[in-house]
Amino acid sequence: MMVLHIARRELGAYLVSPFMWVVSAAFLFINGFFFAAIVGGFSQYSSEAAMYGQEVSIASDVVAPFVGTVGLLLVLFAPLMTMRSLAEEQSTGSLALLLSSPVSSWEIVLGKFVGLLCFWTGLFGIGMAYVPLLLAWFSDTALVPIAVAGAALVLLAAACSAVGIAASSMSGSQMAAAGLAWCALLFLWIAGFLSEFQGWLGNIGDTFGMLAHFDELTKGLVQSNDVLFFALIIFFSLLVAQQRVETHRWR
Amino acid sequence: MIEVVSLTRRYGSLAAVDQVSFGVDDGEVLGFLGPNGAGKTTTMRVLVGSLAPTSGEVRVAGVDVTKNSKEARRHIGYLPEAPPVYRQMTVRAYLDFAARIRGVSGRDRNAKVDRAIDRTALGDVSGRLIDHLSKGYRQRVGIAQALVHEPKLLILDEPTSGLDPAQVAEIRDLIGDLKGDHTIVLSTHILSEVRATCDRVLIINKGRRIAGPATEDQLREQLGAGRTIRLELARPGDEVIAALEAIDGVDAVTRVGDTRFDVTSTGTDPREAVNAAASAFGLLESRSAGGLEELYLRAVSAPAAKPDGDEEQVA
Repeated sequence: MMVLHIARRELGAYLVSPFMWVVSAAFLFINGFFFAAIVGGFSQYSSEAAMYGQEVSIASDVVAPFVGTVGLLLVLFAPLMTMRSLAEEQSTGSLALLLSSPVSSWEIVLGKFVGLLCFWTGLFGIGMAYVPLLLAWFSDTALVPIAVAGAALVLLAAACSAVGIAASSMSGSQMAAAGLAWCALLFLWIAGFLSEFQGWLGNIGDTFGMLAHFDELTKGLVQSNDVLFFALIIFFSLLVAQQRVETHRWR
Repeated sequence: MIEVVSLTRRYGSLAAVDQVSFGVDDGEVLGFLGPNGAGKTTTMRVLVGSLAPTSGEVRVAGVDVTKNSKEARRHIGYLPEAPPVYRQMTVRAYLDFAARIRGVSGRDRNAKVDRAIDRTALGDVSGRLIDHLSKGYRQRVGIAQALVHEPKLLILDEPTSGLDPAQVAEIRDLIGDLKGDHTIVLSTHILSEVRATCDRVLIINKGRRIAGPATEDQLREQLGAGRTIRLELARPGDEVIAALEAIDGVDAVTRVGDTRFDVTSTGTDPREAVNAAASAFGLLESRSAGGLEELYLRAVSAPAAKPDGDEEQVA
């Protein structure tokens, strides 16, 4: 219950923040731009492909590359959305309200997390609803893979939010929080490049490469190890944040 | 309401609070008095359960603050030095949130928020963003937040710091109103504030309890300090000094001006007799000088008292 109260306040704070509106608008605009470019490219390419008898599909040639692009943009934009979360509470002193209330550190952190999750779900659900609508209207593609890709995006957003909250719990500086979240997320994103190598470097790449895990999901292949990867990132990030909040009682 | 037994809180090797013990009764107003850095804020943060003590025991309303911190926090309202407000919320939305996370549910909540707004006289600004309020109003929002869930215990850390004299008076009146409904602990380094609002005083310095909790009179006794009465007389004669010195309890009388005399005393309170005797010489004014200021300075400059519970220690 306390989690929901905190999440509700959090969401309310996002909705009255001009900064969040501007960042959201930029995020949606760039996504829209890429969507138009990918669809435009596809319509040209598909007519040529038909002449040579090649197989093309909306799912693999529009949805998958588009969702991949959104994923990368998400990684770049998420730190801007999450940097306030706990850093602002620490710098303005409002954290004292939460710490002196009958609320546990877990409830504080989960409240922040659920609030961000609602924000992302709303942003995708409203701001990017045009994607399934247009594809359903103008093509006969199946909607299930699109829904799975959408769910994958929400899962990625959840992981980015958790990492962002952990970064934001470190200090009262929002700049530091954004920078730290960027470093962590970009590492996770490009760690996949290491899988080109042999041996332990390659293993790191296979394990931590968020891109590979995300790609599998966007193809509509729901595998337990990919879901587990994101679940673990979320759990450990929130654990770090919870520990940081708890240290306010001890230091 | 509060029992504190040999509370110690260290930051690294520095003991911000060192072996402090005291108790606070139901419904009383206790003032924490001490210079900046004395350990007032640290003690208060331990009381509200937002800081864990290094050692010692703290009970609020019978609940152990360290072992059962969440339960203890239900009974406490806390105003930190900086009011813990979300500036982008309206006063009402903020107080509603504060009530929610203190576990005030459903139908009760609106009534309690209304009552908090009413008590802190925030009615005119309840729909405004906290960011747009003056410092005095923000401080009142901070107090409203502390009492919205009607806790048994209110802990106010320097509730009047940084306010102008009119605002200070308002906050004092407010604390006077709250007296009786809540047990109140407030910290300050302003002496007149203690006299205006508190039943008893606890003086701390460098993390040690120096004196109290005690009333001003008890403090005077504990510290062995005298009382000074300053008289202004219309017709002072040569026999004034002899007449006043004859009164039981008066130690000395000194002339400090043409018409002013300082009467110092220890032991029995001679004020009534002094005033009666002085009226024969045209008493214009009689007031207690020194008092708490003197007591405070004496207490703070004195070497720290032995830590509580360390009775065996050889001096």
